[in-house]
This record gives sequence, C-alpha cells and structure tokens, in this order.
Amino acid sequence: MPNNTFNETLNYLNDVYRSAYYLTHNNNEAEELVQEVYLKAYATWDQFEPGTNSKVWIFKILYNTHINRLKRKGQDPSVLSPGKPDALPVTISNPPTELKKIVEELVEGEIDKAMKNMPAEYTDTLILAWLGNFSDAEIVGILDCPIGTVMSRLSMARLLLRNNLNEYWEEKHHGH
Amino acid sequence: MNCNELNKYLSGFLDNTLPEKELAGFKEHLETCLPCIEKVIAEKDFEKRFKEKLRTAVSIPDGLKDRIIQKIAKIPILKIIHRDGKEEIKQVTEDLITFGRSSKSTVVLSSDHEISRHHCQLERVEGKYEIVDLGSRNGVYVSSQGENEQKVTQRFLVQGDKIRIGHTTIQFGLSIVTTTIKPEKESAPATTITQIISPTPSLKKRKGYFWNVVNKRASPLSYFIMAAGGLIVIWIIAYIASQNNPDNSIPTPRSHKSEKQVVKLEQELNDVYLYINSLAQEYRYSEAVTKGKDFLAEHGRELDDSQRDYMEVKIEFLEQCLVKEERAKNTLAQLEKEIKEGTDPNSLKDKYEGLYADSINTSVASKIREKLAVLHELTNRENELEKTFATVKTEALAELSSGNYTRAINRFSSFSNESDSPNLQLLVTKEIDSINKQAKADFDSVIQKTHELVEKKELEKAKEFCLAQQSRFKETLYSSPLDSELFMLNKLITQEEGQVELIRKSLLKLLHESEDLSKNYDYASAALKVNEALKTSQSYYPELSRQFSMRLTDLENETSLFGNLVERIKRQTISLPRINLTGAVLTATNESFYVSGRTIKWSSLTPDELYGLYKIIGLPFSEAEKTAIFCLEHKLMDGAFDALNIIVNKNPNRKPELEQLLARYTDKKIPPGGFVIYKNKWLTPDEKTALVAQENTSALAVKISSVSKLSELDKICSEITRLIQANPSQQSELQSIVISALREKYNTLKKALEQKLASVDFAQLTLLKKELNKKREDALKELREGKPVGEGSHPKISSEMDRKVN
Repeated sequence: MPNNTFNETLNYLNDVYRSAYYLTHNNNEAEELVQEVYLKAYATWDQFEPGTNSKVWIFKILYNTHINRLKRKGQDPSVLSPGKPDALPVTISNPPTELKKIVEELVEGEIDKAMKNMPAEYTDTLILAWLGNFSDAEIVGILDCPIGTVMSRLSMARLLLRNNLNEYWEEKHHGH
Repeated sequence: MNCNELNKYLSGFLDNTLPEKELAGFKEHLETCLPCIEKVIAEKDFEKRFKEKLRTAVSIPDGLKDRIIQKIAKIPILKIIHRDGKEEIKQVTEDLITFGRSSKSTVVLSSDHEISRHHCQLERVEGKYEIVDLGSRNGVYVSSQGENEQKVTQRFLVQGDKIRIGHTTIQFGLSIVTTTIKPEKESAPATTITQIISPTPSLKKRKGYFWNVVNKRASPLSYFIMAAGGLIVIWIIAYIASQNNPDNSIPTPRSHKSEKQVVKLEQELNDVYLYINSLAQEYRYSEAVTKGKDFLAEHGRELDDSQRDYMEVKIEFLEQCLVKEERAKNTLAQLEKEIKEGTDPNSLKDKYEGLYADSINTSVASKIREKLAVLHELTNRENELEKTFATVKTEALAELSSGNYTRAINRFSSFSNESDSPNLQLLVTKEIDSINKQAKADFDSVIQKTHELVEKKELEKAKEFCLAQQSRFKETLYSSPLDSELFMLNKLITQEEGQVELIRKSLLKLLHESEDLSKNYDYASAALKVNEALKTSQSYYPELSRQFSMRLTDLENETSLFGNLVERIKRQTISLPRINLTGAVLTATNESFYVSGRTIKWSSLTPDELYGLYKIIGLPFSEAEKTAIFCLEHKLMDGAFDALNIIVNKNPNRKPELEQLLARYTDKKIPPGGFVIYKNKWLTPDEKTALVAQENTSALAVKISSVSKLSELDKICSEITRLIQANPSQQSELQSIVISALREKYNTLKKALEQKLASVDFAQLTLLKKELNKKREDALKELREGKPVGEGSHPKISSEMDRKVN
C-alpha cells in the first residue's frame, strides 16, 4: 500500500509542481520546494495512514514544507500576502461575453499576478480547489482549518480573482 | 429569487456551498430566466477555462521527475528490528545518524540495555555509508549477505548488510541508485528486490511472526505496517528499476541454499502471497481469497505444514476483512443516508464512531472515518457556535427587552458574520425575523404617536420623538419607513416654519399697531387688534398667544381705569361748555390718578395725553386745535390764528366755537357779527378798520422817504390827515407812523444839508439854522395841535428852505 501511495504521489508531481509555482511564484524555488516535498514524503511514508488519500497527503506535505521554508527564510507566512482587502466585492457582475474574453486573453504573467495579488490563504485554498481539484473536506485536511473557513475563503478567492482579472482587463483595454 | 439575488448567491452556487433553501430558489429562478442561465454557464465556463489556464500557464521543467527520483533513490533505508520483534523503517536523509540509548541519539534505542548510550553512528562519506562504533560496551556486529557476522569498529556498508547492536538488528538497504537492480529473472523481479533490501526471511520465521500477530490479535494496522514495510521498499526499487540506471547496478546477491524445486514453489508461494496482498490493498478481498484458495487447492499438498498454515492464515484474515468490508459498506450506506436525511451530526457521530473503529481496515471504513471527521469538525464547531449563539441570544433578548431592536439585531448579525454554519445563520435569520415582527407593533405605535403629535401641530416634538426612536429601529425593516416619516416631518416643519414666520410677523405687526393705538388712548381698537392676534396665535404660536393674552389683560385694565377716569371727568365737565373742557379737566382733576401702573397728576398730562382724553370724551380734537390752545395759552397769536384758520377752513361751522375759545383766552368780546378774519387774523370790525388805516398810513409814510419835492410831501400829508380824521381812535398810532416817517426824512435831509453847509459861512448859517429850527418847530407844533396844516405854511417853509439851501 504505501509503495503504491508513493507511486501515486509521483503521479501528482505535475500538479504539485504547479501548485508550488503558484505558492512561490518562481521556477527555481518551485523545483526546490517540490524536491524537498518528495524527499520528505519518502522519508516519512511510514507515517502515512493507509486508507487515506495519498494526494491529500502529498499536498499536505507541500503546504507544510512551503510554510517551513518561508519561516526558514525569515518570512512570516502570515504577513507575506497583500493582506485582506478592505472592501470586497459582493457579487459577480460581468456580462457573460466579456467574461469569456477576459479569460481568453489572459497571459501567463497575469495569471500568476492575479493569484499573487490576493491574501495567501485565499491563494492557497484556490490552488487546492481549482488546481488540485480537492473537495472542501480534503482541503480541510490539508490546510488544517475549519470547513466553513475553506468555503468562505473559496468564495472570497473567486471574487478577488475576478476583481483582479477585471482590473487587468480594464488596464489593457481602457487604460494605457 | 430575482436576478439580483441570484448574483448574490452565484458564488455560493458555483462553490457548491448554498444552503438547500437558497439552492432550490436558485434553481427555480434559473429555470425561468435565460440571462441568468447564460450567466451561470459563463461562470462555469470561466472557472473551467481559468482552471485550464492555471494548469497550462506553468510548464513543468524537463526531467523534474527524474531528478526527484534520483534524489529519493540516494536515500538508504534502515529497517530496525527491535528486541521485541517490532520493526521500524527509517530513511537516512541525514548525513549522520547516531544510535544509542541516549535521548539525543537520532535513533533512540532505550529499551535495549545491551546498547550503550552512544553506541554507534552511520555516517555518509563521499556518497558511501560507514558504520562507526562510538566506543560501545558491547560492540557493533555487521554481517554481509551469506557471511557470518563480524565485530567491527568502522566499516563501509553495502546493500543488505545487517548490523547488530545489543539485541537490535538494523538492516541496511543502501542507495537504490548505486544498487539499482536489473532483475536476473524477468518473471520474478519482486522477489529479487525483496531479497536485496530485506532478504526474505525463511518461511518458518515468517510463519512465526504471523502466528504471533494472529495469536496476539494484533490490530490490523500493525499487520498492515508489517506487510507494507517490505512492500514499499519493493515498490521503490521496482520503480527505480523500471527507470533503468544500469551504470549503478550491482549484481544481486542470492541465496542458492534451497533445492531448485523448493525454491520454485517457495517463489510461487511468495508471488501468490504478494499478489494477494496487492489485491487486498485494493480491497479486492474476495478475489484475494479465491486466489489464495485456488493456490492451496493446486499446491496444498506440495507445501509443508508451515507454508500451508501461512497461506491459510492469510486467507482466514482476508475472509475476516471481507466480512468487515461488507459490514462497513452497509454502515457507510446507512451513514450516508442519515447524513442526507439531515440527522443531527452529534448523534451520528456517537452512533458510527464505534462501527468505524471496528472496520478500520477497509476503504469504506476510511470513507466512514473521513465522513465522521468532517462530522466531528462540524459538530465541534457547531457546538461551540451554539454555545456562543445562546449567549448572543441572551444578550440580544436583554437589548430587546429594553426596546433596542437595532442592538439586538446587531448582536445577532455580528455573530452571524463570525459563524460560518449555515444552520446557525438560518437561526439568526429567524431570530432577526422575529425581532422584526416584535418591532412591528412598537413601530406602529411610534408612528401613531408621531401622527398624534403632528395633529396637535407639535411638529418639533414629533420630530424629536422620531429621532429618538430612530436608533432603536435602525437595523429593522422599519428603518426606512421611519426615515421617510422623518423626512415628511421635516418637510412639514419647514412649511410650517415658513407659515409660522409669516404669522409671527403679522402678529407682531398687530401688536405694534395695538401699542400705537393704546398710546393714543384708542383702547377699543387696540383691544380689537390684540384679540385678532390672540386668535391666530393660539393655533400657531402658543408663546406669542400668551404674550397677547397678557397684553389684552393689561389693555383691559388700562381701559377700565381710563374709563373710570373719563367717567369722572365727564361728570365734572358735563355742565361746562365744551370748549372749557381743558380748563375743566385741569381744574376738576387736580389730583393724582392711576393709569397703567403709573400714578399721574392731571396737571402733568402732556398735550398728547390730553388729546387722548378728549378723544375718549368724544370731542373732535385735532392737532390744529391742540396747537391753537397751546398758542393761545402762550399768547402766540400768529400761531393761534394759523391753527384756528386751519380748523375753520376744514369746518366753517366751528367758527363760533373757536371764537369763544379765542375770546376766552384774549379777553376780547365777540363782536355781534363774529370776528372778521382779515389777513389770517381774527379781528373785531373795529380792529380791522384800525388795521386797515394803519396799513394805509404806513403805505403813505413809505412814500415820504422817496419825496423829493415839498409839494409832493404836502400832498402825502394831506392824505394822511384825511386818514387820521377818518379814524379818530387811531389818531396817535397813525400820527406816530407819520412822525417816524417824517423824522426819517428829516434826518436824511439834514444830512444832505449838513454836507452842503460845510462850505457855507458858519455865522450866517447859524442864523439860518435858528430860523429854520424855529420854523420847523412851529410847523411841528401846528401838526401836534391837530390844526389843519395850512397850505401856506408848508409851502412857505418849503420855499423858504429851498431858497436858503440854494
């Protein structure tokens, strides 16, 4: 079983790497992080509880490692992010056609910027849900926070993301 | 739900977090609203596309997987078998691992007393691993594959080496990369690998271990760990093997002790055993059992007892797993059903906790456990929230009892913001609903009271009242109705203020008018004005109305006092001719009286006040009359006449009355035909005649000064004489007029004469002067004696004078 688990964890490598990238916003750091994650996973596989989800397990290691790395670098993970915005959008209101264009015209940098430009806890949660395709309950297991928090972060993250994307769109088309 | 609300819930819908009620409403709206459907589809599409972008935006570095595997592969694995048979796997990720009883050791082996506190260490030196005795009491023993163990102080380890310290054995599975194995036989790679890392124990040994496990009724978990222990390593190596790294491969040490057949059977048993295990790991228990039983049926007789037992025990265990699996499946189905039905998470937790523990070994059990964990999380949170909710409710009720709905609602809504439980939020909504319901009656009464105040025209009060209530209803549904009520009030007040201001102005005007009137003793009109003001002010300006009623009382007092006074005056003056009124007033009331809080002496009354009195008494008495009296009193006849004339011009009928007045003040007797008005003056006929004579005389006298010939003078004088004769009573006055005129003329002539005489002989002149003086005196004497001036005498004088002067 655990061997299978480890095999499985390698299947998730690409997702882990992408997530790491969105966590670090840097290719080199992302790779370092991923290597550390897999070494740690391998080193501690005996602690893996059989019957539980190995993807959850590897992502949990990813998030813990990420936070530890930040701490090692002397960064307080909690102050890294831009912080909670003062005024949050309440509703989503783009017309459908525009929305489609917004996504279509997104370039790589903008995606990372959009992800970077919101509080880390929202980015974390959104990565897990949208990139990792984890369920709320699984995210609870990974981030170690109440399910309500996960749910509210997700919906807030969606709104923030939409806000950010709208801004880029505005800048591109109506700005400079 | 409408389109706006749909917007509000859209995010929740997409995240699948909408409470059922909202979800139903959401779906219901979607069925009827095409734009919203498009919107939802667009959002879903957005999510899908963005997820895809998230994925494609990050490219995976080439060879990432290889690099990771290589790193992992370099990690040696230690399998530590403790004295009591417990096994522990350790990856050597550190460069130095120490073994010993000391708690500071990397691997703490405190239960083995044969081991020293700092027994030995495993050190990475240039990619190799070396075991070093740290001066232990009992030494370090290493045995390589197929060798007897040797005591060492320092030795590089190779794949498969066993280290023994005290009663503890440590198996060293070194760096997979450097020992990557190419299986000798493709058919049995697993076995080969197993031998490398963790050489297969003889079946006897294995059996012992298994019996041990079974007899001890060890937990399935420990079984799993044990089973998995070998397998993970197997897998890793198998995996790495498939990656191919032939450069680092080393020959596989193998045991060739067994006979070929036995080896083959043993291998087969191993294969089947591993296969069964892998099936079991995938929870395919029934397949595993069948496989096991098939194997036994085929090879059962060829196996020795221990080998058969080994397999049988396995099958027995798997069968137990199968039963549990079935049971767990039922449990899970039941649990899912109950969760769906919305059974209280607390009771579910209690009910299923035990069952989950019972079936830990199964996939379904893990699902149950997951579900329970979520339930647990939920209930914990829920319990905590419920407690808070209870407190919040108590607080809110306290606020409610004091009638402060706003604070009550705020209390709930701030709680609702904190909590993320849909249930509690629903409760909060209900509570707020009920607060709103409670607030309704209160609100109605507030509005009613406001309207009552408005009807009483107490708009300011109504506004104050509303403002005071506003804070209580701020968060309720009645906040905006109250606001609009206030708005209406303010509007009313502004209108009213305008009106009131107008009214106030008109009232003040009335007051001033009444004051003016009362100053003129027209108390009746003054009272009328004040009364009018009072009436209007009572409905619009209560303060002023008080002022007016006070003023009215004052007026009444004043009027009655004045009335009494007037009565008295009337009584005293009734017998007197009207014109004597002032005198009557002055004489009859030479005493003090009381008016408007003042003690006044009649004698100190001003003409104004007197005028007031006259007015009250009913005499037509004007400014002119007052002036007339005043002037008469002070013997200013010109002014008096002017005034009298004004009166008469207005009303000629009053002339007799005024004549009496004039007579009274001047002691003149009214002539039988009344006074003659001549050049503004009121005169008796005699006076008029005299005046005319005087005037004529004066006119003549004026002529004297311009006389240049004596003949002219004679002519004037004769006229004057006639005048004097016509007015004997005026003789002296007329004469004095003429004399003064003559004197003047004389002085003029004298001056002229004196100038001429300056060059004349003085003696002669003196004679002449004497003569002239005599003659002049004679002439004057004649005039004074009233003898008609002889024609001869004057010309005589004149001619003589003329001559002399010439």
